[in-house]
Amino acid sequence: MAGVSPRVLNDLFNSKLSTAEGKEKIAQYGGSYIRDRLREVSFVRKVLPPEQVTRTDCQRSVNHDTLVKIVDIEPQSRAMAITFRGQPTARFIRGEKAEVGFFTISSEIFQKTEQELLAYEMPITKVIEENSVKDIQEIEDREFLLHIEAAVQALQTEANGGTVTTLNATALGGGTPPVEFSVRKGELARVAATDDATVRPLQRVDVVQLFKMLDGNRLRAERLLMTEVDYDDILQWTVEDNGDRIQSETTVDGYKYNTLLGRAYIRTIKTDILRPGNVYVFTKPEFFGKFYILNNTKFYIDKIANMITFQAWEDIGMGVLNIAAVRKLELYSADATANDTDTLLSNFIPSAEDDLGAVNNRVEAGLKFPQITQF
Amino acid sequence: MSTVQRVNFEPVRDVLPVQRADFPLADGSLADPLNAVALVDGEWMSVDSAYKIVRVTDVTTPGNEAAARSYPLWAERGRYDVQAMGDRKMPVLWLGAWEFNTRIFDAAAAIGTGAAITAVDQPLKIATITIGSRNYTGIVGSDTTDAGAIIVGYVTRLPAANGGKLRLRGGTGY
Repeated sequence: MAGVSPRVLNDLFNSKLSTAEGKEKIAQYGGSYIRDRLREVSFVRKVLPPEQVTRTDCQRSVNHDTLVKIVDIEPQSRAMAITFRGQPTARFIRGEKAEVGFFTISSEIFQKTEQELLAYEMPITKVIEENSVKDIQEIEDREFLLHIEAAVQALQTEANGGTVTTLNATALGGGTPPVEFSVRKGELARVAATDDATVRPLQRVDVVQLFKMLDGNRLRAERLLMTEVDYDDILQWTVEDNGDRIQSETTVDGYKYNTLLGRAYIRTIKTDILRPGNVYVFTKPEFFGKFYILNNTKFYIDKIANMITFQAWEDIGMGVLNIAAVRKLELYSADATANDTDTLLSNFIPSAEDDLGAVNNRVEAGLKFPQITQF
Repeated sequence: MSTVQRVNFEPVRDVLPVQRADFPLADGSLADPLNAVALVDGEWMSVDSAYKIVRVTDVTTPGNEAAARSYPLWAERGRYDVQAMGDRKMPVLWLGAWEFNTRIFDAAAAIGTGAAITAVDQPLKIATITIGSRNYTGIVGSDTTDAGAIIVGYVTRLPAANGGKLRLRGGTGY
């Protein structure tokens, strides 16, 4: 349908909905509108590649009508040196099992009257449909962030004797600094004079120290997750960090390699979900967790009288099953634990769902230039 | 005395016209079925200033009467979909009229100036009740002289004639 005007597409959308076949997904194309912001696909899918599951892979509950998939965890084993006459110790085999629960992520229910749809030149329904898929993936990312943050904080709490322990520059400079087991402050943040929300630049030593948190625990850091903002700091690394060849390349072309210090990295523009100053590192997925898709994105559309209604949703499950397989670097000096000692926690955690994707343009407020008034 | 079972709050009319809204729990641990005061379907929740839901009464204090508007929870104890979410959301009947059977009630209780549940069309309010060995935020009877009570619905079928479940209608209009 390329080359067809958006207005015609809107009309077609409208007319097709009057037929039974028209309730199927309608494919339209168009680009005669101004985009408000960049939208990107989910980053969780790059960290944990999703696996398709079916009803038969899942377990039901006798108490309610929801589903889980039970995942086996690798059992423990060891070897030992023994004499010719001795015997090894025995192990009665038992493997842990963990559940991954399923839930739904849905778009809003979009509604518009057939007549008002005529007032648009752009294929507004198609735009919303396409954006809905990315909106859904945005919530996937938010859920993932909540889970990995809970994972690193749980391990950090365990390492500090089972107590949520404040981690800020003041605590690190005190007499009994907290153990940085799964969360670590950046080198500039830890020597800051105040406990604040200022995001310090990402330095090479920070990345190496982050890798060591995993590499030192019989796991291997494989993939970094950071915001585009923090990635930009890498462009500031000096010739001492990069060597003259990379420095020359970076100055001209930016940093163009798929790995950083030998590990893959993922950048995201979703700074309202992964807040700048937070960098996570993960192992390979097989050591880390699961991301299941029970139902791929479905699209429902209907027209009752002149009211068009449509909605998209998917059913997924994700679980961080080995919480030791993710570690975190914080580039700010304030506390980001549940203690919220510096009352700045809201700066570091994902924004509420309702607040995601704040509008960039100010057209509704009349702010566009030059100002044109029609009469 | 009612008995709490796996399903305690069931529709007896079409639920499509009812707006069922998911809200995050202010205390996510209440979604854990092993929590001593885990939420069960048919308990009553209010919305706090953070747009999260909390029990409308103090569940540790039997007889504590609701002082705010509240909405019935429509999610059984321990549902996986609730536990699987980072925000631990649960659905309440938010807008629209409905008729449900509930087991989360105390027909004999007379809280404040309320009255035991004895008649069809009797107004109902919310208070902390005890069923078996634990407390719930559930339904108790009110009446026309119960000044200040926040009425959440009306009896449509008495438990004695409904297999031990109270049938009520509520929603839009209060």
